[in-house]
Amino acid sequence: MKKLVIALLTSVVISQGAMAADSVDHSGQASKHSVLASVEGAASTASVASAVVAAPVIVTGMSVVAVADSTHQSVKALHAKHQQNTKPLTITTRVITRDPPPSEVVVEQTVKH
Amino acid sequence: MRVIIAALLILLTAGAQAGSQAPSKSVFQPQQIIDFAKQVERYAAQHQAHAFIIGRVGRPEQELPKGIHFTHTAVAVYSAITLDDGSTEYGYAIHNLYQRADDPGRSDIIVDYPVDFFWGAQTLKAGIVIPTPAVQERLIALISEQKHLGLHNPRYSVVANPFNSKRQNCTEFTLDMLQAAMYQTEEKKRIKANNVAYFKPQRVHVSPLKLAVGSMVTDGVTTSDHKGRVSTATFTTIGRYLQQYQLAEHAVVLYANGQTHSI
Repeated sequence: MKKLVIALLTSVVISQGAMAADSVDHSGQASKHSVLASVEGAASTASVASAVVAAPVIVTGMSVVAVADSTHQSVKALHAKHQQNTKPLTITTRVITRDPPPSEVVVEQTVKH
Repeated sequence: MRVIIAALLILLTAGAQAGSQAPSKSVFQPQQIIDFAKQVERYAAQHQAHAFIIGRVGRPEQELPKGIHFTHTAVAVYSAITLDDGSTEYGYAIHNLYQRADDPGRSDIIVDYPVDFFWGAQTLKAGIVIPTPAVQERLIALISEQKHLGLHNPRYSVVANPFNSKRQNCTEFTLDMLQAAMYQTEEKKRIKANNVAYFKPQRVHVSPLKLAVGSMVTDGVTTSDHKGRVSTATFTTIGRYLQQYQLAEHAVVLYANGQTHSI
């Protein structure tokens, strides 16, 4: 009985990784922003910037249109126009990330008396 | 005997907490992650994807249960991104359901960007499913109108049952967004009815004992929303679902060396 309990619990401990969730926000990790800041400026790294807001857009052959400014029928029409476009969509060379957590931007200063 | 059980339970709890919170440190150099994230964006851009399903591997692949190849799934949307310096750049914004690190039984909808998305990846490979233009268009409309937010169920389980609304994980949220977009509905009952009717989830090959013990040590694991065998939505099953109904234009796994293979 004792051996069975130990074997069962041990196997569960070892297998925890199999169930462990990955759907955790990696963006809030304290190290990431400081690491990115440290590589910024290297010859191979484009500038790093924090995103404020992202708005879906559709690229037609003529222009880039914000979806939020369009009605549903307009979106359909725009997308139909887009399908005539054979050029790849433009992707910025800048490194874009979410803002860091507030604990990283608010630095408590200790006042010595 | 009591000491042994107590020690193992302590180890069990510690392991579960660490496991439920994805690795905080990247296993790759920052430049590798940046390069891969841009590679994924450019690949989708070359295929003119305005919206696509994206998957990452956030656990060592040898630890993944049978049949599961990606550990997190979301929807990437081509966007005009306003930056903190006031400029606007173009790239993909990723719409995720993320489990709270400090409250594993709860989740939030968070927008991040490819470098953020792949920061904790254990393997530099990406799942990419580009729906047909009609599906993309409906998905974009759903997200731009913020109607996807109403589909969110903050009660999280890593093995959530996609056939009911009791719990939700990232992949079920992605599936629900797709269904809401395709059927142009926000009614959860209708979405779940169509999940039951047409979607085939992945059976989770983890023993009931392990799941039961897992549910004891973390709120992010439960089988209370299942009857019988535990099955959940995955990146691959979503890809297959779209393929089955001829709604996937392109579906691949992209590796850092540039190679791809079809899903």
